[in-house]
Amino acid sequence: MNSQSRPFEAPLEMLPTRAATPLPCPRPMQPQTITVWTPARILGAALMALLTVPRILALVPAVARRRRA
Amino acid sequence: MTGIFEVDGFTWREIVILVLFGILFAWIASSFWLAAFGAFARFTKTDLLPLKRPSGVSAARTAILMPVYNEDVARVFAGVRAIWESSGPDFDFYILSDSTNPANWVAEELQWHKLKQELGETARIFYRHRAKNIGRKAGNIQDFCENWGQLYDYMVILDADSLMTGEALHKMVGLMDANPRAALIQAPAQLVGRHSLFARIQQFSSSVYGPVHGAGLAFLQGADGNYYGHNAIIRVHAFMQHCGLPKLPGKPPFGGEIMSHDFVEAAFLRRAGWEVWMAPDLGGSFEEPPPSLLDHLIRDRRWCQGNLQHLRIVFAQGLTLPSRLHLAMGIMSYVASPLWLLLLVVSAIDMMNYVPPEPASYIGLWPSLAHSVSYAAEMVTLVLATLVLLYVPKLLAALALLEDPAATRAHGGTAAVFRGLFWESVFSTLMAPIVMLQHSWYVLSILMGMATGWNSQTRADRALPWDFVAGKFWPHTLIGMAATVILWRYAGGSFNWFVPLLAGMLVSIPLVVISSSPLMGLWTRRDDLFVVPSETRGLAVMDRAHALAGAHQDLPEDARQLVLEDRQVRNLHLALLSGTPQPDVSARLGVLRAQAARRDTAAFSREDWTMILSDSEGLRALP
Repeated sequence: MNSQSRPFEAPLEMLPTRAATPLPCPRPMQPQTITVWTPARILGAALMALLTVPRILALVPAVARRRRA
Repeated sequence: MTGIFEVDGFTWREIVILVLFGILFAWIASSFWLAAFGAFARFTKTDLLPLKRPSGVSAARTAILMPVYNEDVARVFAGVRAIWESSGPDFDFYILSDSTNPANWVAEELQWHKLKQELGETARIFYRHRAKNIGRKAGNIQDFCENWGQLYDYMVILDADSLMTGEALHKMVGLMDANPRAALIQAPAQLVGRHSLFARIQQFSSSVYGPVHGAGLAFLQGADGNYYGHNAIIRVHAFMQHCGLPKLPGKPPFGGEIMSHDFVEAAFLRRAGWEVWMAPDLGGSFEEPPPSLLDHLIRDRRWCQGNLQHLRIVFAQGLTLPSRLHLAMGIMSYVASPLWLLLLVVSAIDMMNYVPPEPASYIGLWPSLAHSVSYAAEMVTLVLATLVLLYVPKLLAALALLEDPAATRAHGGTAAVFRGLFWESVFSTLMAPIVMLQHSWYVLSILMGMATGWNSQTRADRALPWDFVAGKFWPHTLIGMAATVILWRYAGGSFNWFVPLLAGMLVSIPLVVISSSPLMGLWTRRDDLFVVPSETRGLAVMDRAHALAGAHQDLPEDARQLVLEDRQVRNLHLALLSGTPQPDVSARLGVLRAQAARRDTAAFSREDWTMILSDSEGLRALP
C-alpha cells in the first residue's frame, strides 16, 4: 500500500532522429473487475422503489379510505 | 406537505407529487448543507487539506499530460508553453493527441516542432499521436501509462483548456511526496478567461460560490474525495495498478466503454485503500467555461450519458459509501431534471383538477358552514423553505467572500458582489427551465438507447446568430407558449406559481443569443458586473497563454497539403509517424497514392487524408 517509486531510474532516452517521445517502457494496465447492475435490474429497482416508497410513507391507507368514501 | 394533502385523503397524483417532492427536496437540501458546511469551514478557517506539508526539494519525476482531440491547435500549444514557462524545467510535458481530423494532426506536429525550436532541446515537451482513439480520453491516458508510466512517479492530467501555475504544480508534487498514501489530489479549477456574457456569469459563480462549495466538499469528504478528470495529480503506480477500466457488458449507452471515467477511477482508488483528496485552497488551477448556454448544453449531453452509465456502477460490489455518493450525485445532476419536469406536470394537472370544498353543508336539515381549514401558512413555509435552500447558499458564499477585503476588492467591491449575486440569480432562474427541458430530453433519449459520440468542444467566444439559436431552441419556446396558454386557461389562481418557469422557456431564444454575446460581456465588464479577480488583477499564466495563442494564429489553413508539398514538413511527419501502423495495401490506397503524387487532393475525404498521412511507405516514395 505504500508508495512505490518508479521502477525505472534511468534517464529518459530519446528515439533517434526527430521522434517526439522517450523510449517506451511497456507495461499493460489490467482492467479491474467490477460486478455491475444490468439495465433490467436498475429498472426493476426503480419500479420497486416507486411501489414501496408510498407504502413506507404510509400513504396507501389514505387512498384506500378515499376509495371507500 | 403531507399535512396539506391528507385533508381529504390522498389521490394518486398527490402521492406522485409527494414522492417526487421528497426526492427533489432532499436533493436541493444536500446542496444547501454542502454550502452550509463550506461556509462554516470558511468562517472558522478550518484546514481543508489535513495532509503533511512538504519539506525539501522533490526528487520525483512528474509528467504533465495534455490529452487533445481535434482542439484549437494554437490554443493547446499556447497553454502548454504558458504552463512550461511558469513551472520551469522540472516537468516533462506530453501532448497526447487523439485528433482524428488530419488537418489538426499535421498542425499539431508543426506547432510541436516550432515550440521545440523556440524553447530549445532542454524543454522536455513530447508529442504523441494515436492512430485510433480507443477508449477516448481514458484510453489516451492509459496508453501513456502503458508506454511511459513506469518512468514517472506522478502525472498531472490537464484538459485542452486547462491552465495551472508552476507554483501549484510544485505544491502538488510536494504534497504527494509527503503523503505516500495519497494517490490523487484534485485541484478544483476556477473558471477564467472568456468574455461572453454567459461565460462571465459562469466565471463569477465559480469565483464567488466555488470556494464555499469546494470547502463544503473537502470538509465532508476528507480522504474520500473525487476526481474531475483534469487539474489533478495522480500517483502513477497506484493508477496503473487499480484504474484499468473494464468494459461494461452490453451495448452503449449503458454498456461498452466507461465514458465518464474520472469518478470511477477515484472510486477504484478508494476501493484499493488509497486516499483521494481535494485541495480547494491550493490555487493556481484554472479552466475556461463554455462560451454559451448552447455549448454548455452540448457538453452536458456527453456528461449526461457518462453519468447515467454510472447507474450500473453505483451499486457495484466493493465500492466505499462516499464513492457511491459521488456517483449518485453525478447521476442526480441529470436525473433531477426529468423528475422536476414530472413534478411540475403532475402538480399542474392536480391544480387544474382542484375542486374547492362546498361553501356550506347540512347536518340533518340544519345548514352548517364548511369546516374551513387554511393551509396558507404551510404553503408559504414550504415555498420559503425551498427558496432558502436555493438562494441562501449563494448568500453564504458572498458573506464568506466579504470576510476577505482583498478578495472583495478583486470582485469589484461589496456592491458589485451583491449586484452580481442578484443578476446571476435572475439569470440562473431563467436558465433553469431551459436546462431542465434539455436534460430531460437527454435522459429520455439515453434511456431509449440513443448513444452520443465524443465530439470536441467549441471553446472560443462567438455571438450566436438568431436564426441558428431559433433552430435549436424553438421547442423550448413552443413548450413554454403551450404551457402558458393551458395554465392560464385551466390553472386559475395557481398560474402565478408557474410564471418564473414559463418566463425562462418563453425567453429561451433571446436569452441564449444575448448571453452568448462577447459585446454584452464587455458591457457588463464596463459596468463592473460579474467582475472576477483574473479580470481586475490579471492572471499571469492566462494572460501569457492568450498572448501566445494570438501570436500562433499564423497556422497554415490546410496543414495536410504541406506534407505533400513541403519536403521538410513531410520529413518531420514521417519522423513522428514511427510506430503508427502502416495502412493495408489496397486498391484504394493505390489510387490515393497516385493522386497524392499528382497533388490532386481536392476530392480527398477526411478518411482519404488519414490513410495517405498514415502511409509512410507512400509518403517516402513521393517525388
